[in-house]
Amino acid sequence: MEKNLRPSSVEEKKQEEQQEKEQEEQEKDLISCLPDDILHIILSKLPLRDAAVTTAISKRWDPLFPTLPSLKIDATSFNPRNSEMNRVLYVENANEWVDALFSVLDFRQAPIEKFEIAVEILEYFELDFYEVFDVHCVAGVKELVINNFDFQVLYDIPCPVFSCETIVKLEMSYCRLVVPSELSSLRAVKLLVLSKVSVSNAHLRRLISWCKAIEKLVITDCFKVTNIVIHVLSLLELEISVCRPVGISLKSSPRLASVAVSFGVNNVYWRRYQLSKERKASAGTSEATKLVTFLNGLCGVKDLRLNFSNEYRMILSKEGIPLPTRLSPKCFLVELKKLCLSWPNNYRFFNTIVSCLLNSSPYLMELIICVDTSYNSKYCPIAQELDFWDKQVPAECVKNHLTTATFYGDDYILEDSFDFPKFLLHNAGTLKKINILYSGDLKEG
Amino acid sequence: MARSSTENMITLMSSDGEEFMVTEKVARECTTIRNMLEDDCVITNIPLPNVTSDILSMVIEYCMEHVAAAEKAAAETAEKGSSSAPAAAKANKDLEEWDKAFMNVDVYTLCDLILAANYLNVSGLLDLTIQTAANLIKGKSPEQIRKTFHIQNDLSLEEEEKIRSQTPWAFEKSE
Repeated sequence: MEKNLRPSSVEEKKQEEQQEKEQEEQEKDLISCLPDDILHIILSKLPLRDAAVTTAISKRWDPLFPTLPSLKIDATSFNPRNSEMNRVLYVENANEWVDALFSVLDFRQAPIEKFEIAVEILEYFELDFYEVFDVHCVAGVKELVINNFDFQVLYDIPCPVFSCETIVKLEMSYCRLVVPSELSSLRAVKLLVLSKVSVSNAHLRRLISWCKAIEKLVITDCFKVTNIVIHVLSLLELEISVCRPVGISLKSSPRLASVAVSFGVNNVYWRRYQLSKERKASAGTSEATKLVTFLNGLCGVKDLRLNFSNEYRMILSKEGIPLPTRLSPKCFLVELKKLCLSWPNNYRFFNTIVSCLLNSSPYLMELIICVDTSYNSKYCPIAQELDFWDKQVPAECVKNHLTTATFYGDDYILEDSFDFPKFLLHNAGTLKKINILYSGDLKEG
Repeated sequence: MARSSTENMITLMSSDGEEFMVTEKVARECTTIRNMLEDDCVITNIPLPNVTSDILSMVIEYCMEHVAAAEKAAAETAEKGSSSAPAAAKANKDLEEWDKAFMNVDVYTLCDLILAANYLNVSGLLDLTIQTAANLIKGKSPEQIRKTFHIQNDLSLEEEEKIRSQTPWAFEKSE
């Protein structure tokens, strides 16, 4: 190499070095230098097959898939890429599917923290699956999601799940819960989600009461259950949606701050229920009484959202048992600050609910009423009692605490139901804002 | 800028010594910096020894765009009392388009951005870059992935054969 370089060749040399450097950069394998936790996140964004393929890239990548902390498996995970079944979310070959699952589990090199399984064939391989859950629940899974797509075949949740001491988040759908009578585990569960699960009253009650650390409970359209009894001290948040009238009673949940309940009725389930033995067993308890029982357990709740279906209203109206004008004073909703109510049409029944809740919530500050007519085109205002609000005595909260009221709805509905906003305008001493929103645009008063 | 006089400015220093003046609001998009500011609110000069100037300028560009979008949405909500759904949806789509164009980078820059987003804890940018990397892997064979990221294959034929036989379902039969 030349030692005495003229300025121009120094430039050249520099350029050459630059090029070399760039060349080197081109060859550099930066992605393999990323730390394991980042590469794990990248793999977790991929379908299982693509994540598994990365094992054959290099020595650096080989151990990443077997140590992936979260494993999400569905019916199509082990189907060939171009399988017809991938579109309809079915397993192409059940034997191969189970073999593939076991090959993934057998080659694991680290415990699974989050295990999500969504498949409808579990039933035929019951014993195999019990083994899967036995091994992995013992190994310390923290989040477990069991999701079945086939609502025709509800499978039993494997017993080992109920004896797992490490699960923090447990979600189950379309399965049957048979809760062992001697249950001492699930003590770490903070979130429990049961969706379209078949469970009896006693088993549900047992399951909930064993989750001693539970903070959030979600129950969506569960089968068989007719009475949900919640008796846990740690609960903060509750969401329930039912597809036929179900009794809900809350006992000693002092920390419970947020409650959302949707009272829906699916006519098929409802008719079946009326013909069934369960109906006879609970005969004598009216739906209105059940509703009051539920409201009586809400003393500590700050935020309450209730949604009523028209079918539910009809069942209540048919019984002819009126709601009380207020709850008994010891059950007043003294903590309630925000109340959100929604229903499909305006009927007198809903006025009585609003009035009962206002009279029982002395410190309410915000009220939201949504009238959603989008799914119910036929509107019949006959049941509306026009002078209902004129006869009402303004509640304590209306006079002294209510600051915001918002109404959502179609304009032709609101025309008929201006009485209540008018009532508020005349009687609410601290009201700062009334919003009336006609499906989309906004008017302020 | 007129508003800079009313806002706190913070100087971020890259590993190669370049200084970047940003508003505190933009700097707070990085959770790592937000935590520093919350621990010690008089801090105005932050050295970032793990981030080079070209990557840091990109991270700042990302944060500024997202702060501006959030401010615009908040201003609209305040003006009309509530944000109208179609306008919000359009703003979201615009930002998504911007993100997509922003991710038009080579794999080296992408890896550097992942590291920087992770170190500075910018969750939106970390999600975006990680998803982009995942998209580059999705549906490819090991050979194609090596080519994309310039990864050297240090596995012997037997080793690769053994790995493939552990998860035979993952590899296409024709491969």
